[in-house]
Amino acid sequence: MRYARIALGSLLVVAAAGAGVYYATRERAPAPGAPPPPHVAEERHYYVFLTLVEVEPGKWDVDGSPPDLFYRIRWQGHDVFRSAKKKDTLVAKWSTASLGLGDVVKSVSIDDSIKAARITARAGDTIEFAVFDADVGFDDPAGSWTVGVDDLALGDQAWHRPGGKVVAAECRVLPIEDVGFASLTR
Amino acid sequence: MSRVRRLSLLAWANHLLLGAGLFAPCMTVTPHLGAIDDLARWLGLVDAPKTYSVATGILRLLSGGNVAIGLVLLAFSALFPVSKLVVLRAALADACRGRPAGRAHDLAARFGRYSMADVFVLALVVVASKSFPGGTTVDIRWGAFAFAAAALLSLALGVRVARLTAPSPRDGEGSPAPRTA
Repeated sequence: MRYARIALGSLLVVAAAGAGVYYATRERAPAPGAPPPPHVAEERHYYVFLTLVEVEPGKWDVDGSPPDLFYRIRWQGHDVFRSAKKKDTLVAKWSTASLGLGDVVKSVSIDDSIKAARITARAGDTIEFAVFDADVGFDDPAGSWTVGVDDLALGDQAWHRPGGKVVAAECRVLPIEDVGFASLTR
Repeated sequence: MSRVRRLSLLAWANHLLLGAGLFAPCMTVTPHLGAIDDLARWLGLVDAPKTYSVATGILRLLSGGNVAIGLVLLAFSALFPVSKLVVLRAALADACRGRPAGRAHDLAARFGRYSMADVFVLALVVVASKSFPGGTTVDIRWGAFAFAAAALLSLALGVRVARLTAPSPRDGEGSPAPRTA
């Protein structure tokens, strides 16, 4: 009984110290007062694309299979980008760059290989993300959401429940001018 | 302040160090892809640096299917060190009440052998100094030092508590100390 009391005390102190350190050092959102991540700058050009989309489970296809996910980006009234389709998945992940066999044959440039929307940052502009389940004949909308272009942060950003059946979405914004071509020839 | 009280305070400090050592960032792995690192990073092909603590490392092993290694690490990195602190505190409580060295002291001495500090530090040095493909680096973080310090402090405490609870020459001319039931 005495040992049990001592053991409980030791465990509690070690756990409390561990929990304190864990919460103090875990990676988290910037603290209040910390400088916000840099946002896009007016009249500069950017690549915008989703790196990940997660949708709710449920009845997507007639045969019970998960959805074939893709997304579109709409800016200034135009569909400026349509992603590749990710088959039978509730969590779709896209790479920044992808090359098809045709691209290799044609020897495309780095810019052409980058699968992203190209936009120019202007105050008041919005950008719409729409996720679909690709089906024969008609693509079922899975969810869409609109973000102010000047609200886009440089680098990665995540949205939770941004719209419809979309559970989470991660977006990356990169300045077009900063493409590291020099690193190719180094 | 009496010697027992000082040792008790050190024992509590050891608890805090161990807790910090188990959960604080222990190492950060920064992947690199050699000459094409900048481009690959820009394209999102290189993972972001990942930081592990002893606890998250064990959890990843357990959840990743390496249950046997995970359990061994859990036993030697967490359960034994905590158990050693428990028996040290029990021995100190005995000493505080003027009781002779008992079972707690024997256990404290035994648990000292199972300290992972030496193996742990050696493993970290090997990992940190080894060169990985593409220039991937492993940086040691402060959690590793806290864990090593906790292990070393518990070793030192074990020795001090052993001296404290050892029978004096007057107690039966060097015969074994009377044991409590």
